[in-house]
Amino acid sequence: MSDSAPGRATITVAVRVWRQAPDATVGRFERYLVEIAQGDHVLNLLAALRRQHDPTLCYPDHFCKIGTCGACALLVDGKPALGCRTLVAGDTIEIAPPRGRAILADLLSAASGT
Amino acid sequence: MTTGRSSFDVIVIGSGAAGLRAAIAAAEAGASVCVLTKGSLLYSGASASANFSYCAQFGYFGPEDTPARYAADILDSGRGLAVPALAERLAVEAGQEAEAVDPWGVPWRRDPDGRYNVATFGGHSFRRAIHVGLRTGTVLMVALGRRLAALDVAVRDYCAAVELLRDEQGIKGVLALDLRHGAVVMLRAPSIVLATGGNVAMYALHTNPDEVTGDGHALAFRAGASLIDLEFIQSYPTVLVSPPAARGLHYPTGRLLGFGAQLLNGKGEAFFHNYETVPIQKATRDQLARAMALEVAAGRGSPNGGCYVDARGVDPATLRDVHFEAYFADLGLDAGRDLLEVAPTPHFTIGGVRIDADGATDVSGLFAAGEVTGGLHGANRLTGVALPETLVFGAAAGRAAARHAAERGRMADGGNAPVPDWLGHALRIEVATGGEPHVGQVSARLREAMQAGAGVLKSSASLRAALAVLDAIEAEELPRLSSRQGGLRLNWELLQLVELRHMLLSARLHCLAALAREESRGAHLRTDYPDEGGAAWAGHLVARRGPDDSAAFLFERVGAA
Ligand SMILES: Cc1cc2nc3c(=O)[nH]c(=O)nc-3n(C[C@H](O)[C@H](O)[C@H](O)COP(=O)(O)OP(=O)(O)OC[C@H]3O[C@@H](n4cnc5c(N)ncnc54)[C@H](O)[C@@H]3O)c2cc1C
Ligand code: FES
Repeated sequence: MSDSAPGRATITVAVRVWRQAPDATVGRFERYLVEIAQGDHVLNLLAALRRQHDPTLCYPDHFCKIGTCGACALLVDGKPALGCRTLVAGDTIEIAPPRGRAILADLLSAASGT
Repeated sequence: MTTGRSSFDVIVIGSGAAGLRAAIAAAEAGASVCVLTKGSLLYSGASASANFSYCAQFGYFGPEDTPARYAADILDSGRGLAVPALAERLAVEAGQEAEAVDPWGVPWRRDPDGRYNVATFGGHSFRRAIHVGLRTGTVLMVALGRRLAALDVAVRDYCAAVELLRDEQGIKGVLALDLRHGAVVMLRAPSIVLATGGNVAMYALHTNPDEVTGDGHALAFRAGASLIDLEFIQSYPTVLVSPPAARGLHYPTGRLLGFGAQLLNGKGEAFFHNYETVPIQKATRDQLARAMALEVAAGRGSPNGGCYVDARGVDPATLRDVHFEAYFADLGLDAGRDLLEVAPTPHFTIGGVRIDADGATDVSGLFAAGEVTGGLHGANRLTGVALPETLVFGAAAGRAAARHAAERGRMADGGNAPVPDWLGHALRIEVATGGEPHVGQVSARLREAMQAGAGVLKSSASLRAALAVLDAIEAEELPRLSSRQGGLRLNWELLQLVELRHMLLSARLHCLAALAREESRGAHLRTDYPDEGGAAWAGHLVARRGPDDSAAFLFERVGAA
């Protein structure tokens, strides 16, 4: 919810996000301009994208978001990263699902244990 | 993993620690069991976040260190409202449950003499907090998952319960949105265990996963079960409010205050002694939260409406012991270098579905366990009692549910269910692509209203303002919400819609109960009624469903029943 917190510097980030429909075997990157608080992390950026642009965006949003559970694995600018432990650095970013796991939809992948 | 089957002896809703423990107990008792979770098996719920304390009693500290003393501490903390039968079961069985999960892979920390390593917390007469370092919750979830996998239990993940099915005899099953397979399904069972956790995600800022939307309150209430003590929500006193990436992270200040950490107002002054006579090192969470909230309300807060924790004088080894240093480092924070800006923030749902000591609700066949229930903690929860609550009452509810199912016999198969009107409506108007507001925006509005009006400090005026927003959402926005994604499969917008509908009811019940209790007690703080109301208020507000989801509240004096 941090994009709505009062009195905080915000920045606009150009985001490339992997979109893939639930039954599809292929997807593609889509581009959005998202406003976030300066110094926020990737998971909060995705929450802001969903509020500001597209409520259908699917990403691992049902988990701890404090760095303990490991469910928010993503590929951020090509590198494996946990979304809630990775700060948005700069004003462009690319976010994709992690490698080596079946994609359920968009950024949500089949986590181990399911 | 079975997915096709739709009739079971026991259905467990929720895959946190309480749900998994219930499923294990029911399966061990010979029942056929299905676990339904709207998240994913090992990761979901608040349980995976619980970082440290599991309070249990082992008699290490002499003849006074008894289960009765543990129960008495819970009753004291509950300000007259904790239910003795629940506190007694918790106190007796917390230690047994710790031993039961040990062989499934919970390496409790032990001292050289082989005893559990026990840490101390305010409000407990003796040291009782056993732990697995800072990863107790995650380790416990993995261990429960391992035990579950060894049993023949069906699991449906990304599957959200929408409505419980019942008739005059009691529970019949559950209607659920199965997002993984893209269907609305009807699952049949004579016994259901609700283990859906709390509701604090109804606030803009909170410490839980955002999925903790009070679904179990709404499911139980609509099925006709009683809920109690819904006005009580525990705030964690020191939750980070800056920088943005750290908002919502609880910082375990309580354990540092004894090591030289300080709590300061926005002007850099110590203030706790202006509110309480106990030394700050001995303060309980509610005392800290209350003092901080009042100091901020008096205009002496920090820029983001909080206070400061100054842990710069604490030695680095101690800091490493109590908090997630690596996570802080990722976010560019260093407690040894930076002042931490913190505010009291909703953390734990104290009230909930009313149960007896076997986890049975007052609807035949409906059981509940864990944070979704109310009664054990009364008006305020002691540190480290939530995790043992999940195991003790999860196990009890699982066994009782299996017994009930054996008496009642299996139901006919469920199959695909008729889509309820409101859900069908949301699906049909998917043509409204691009329509505003969408579900995420409406949920955000609800959360902001609850934060502003029903947060740590409440008043009649603030609660009425929050209720007005809830009314407007219910009357004007909820009926117009639609899904712009075709189909049910992984339709995250519909999942949010199901959650919003549950959350709206849970939020309303909280506001109404908080409005009705015209006093301050435990975690319930009213600025217009700042004092505890004495014997006249020593009782439970019990909520039951009236016509059209309206709530009827009954005041039940303690000891009167
Ligand atoms: C950051 C943090 C730290 C904590 N630290 C401690 C601690 O040190 N010691 C302690 O004792 N307690 C602690 N707690 C509290 C404790 O973790 C929780 O009270 C406890 O884990 C709740 O467990 P539960 O199984 O009842 O619910 P949860 O673990 O929240 O699980 C709820 C489950 O229900 C599912 N669900 C919800 N709605 C639906 C639906 N409609 N359909 C299907 N599934 C649904 C969810 O997906 C989830 O799987 C902490 C809590 C937090 C947030
Ligand atoms: S959501 Fe749990 S580690 Fe990021």
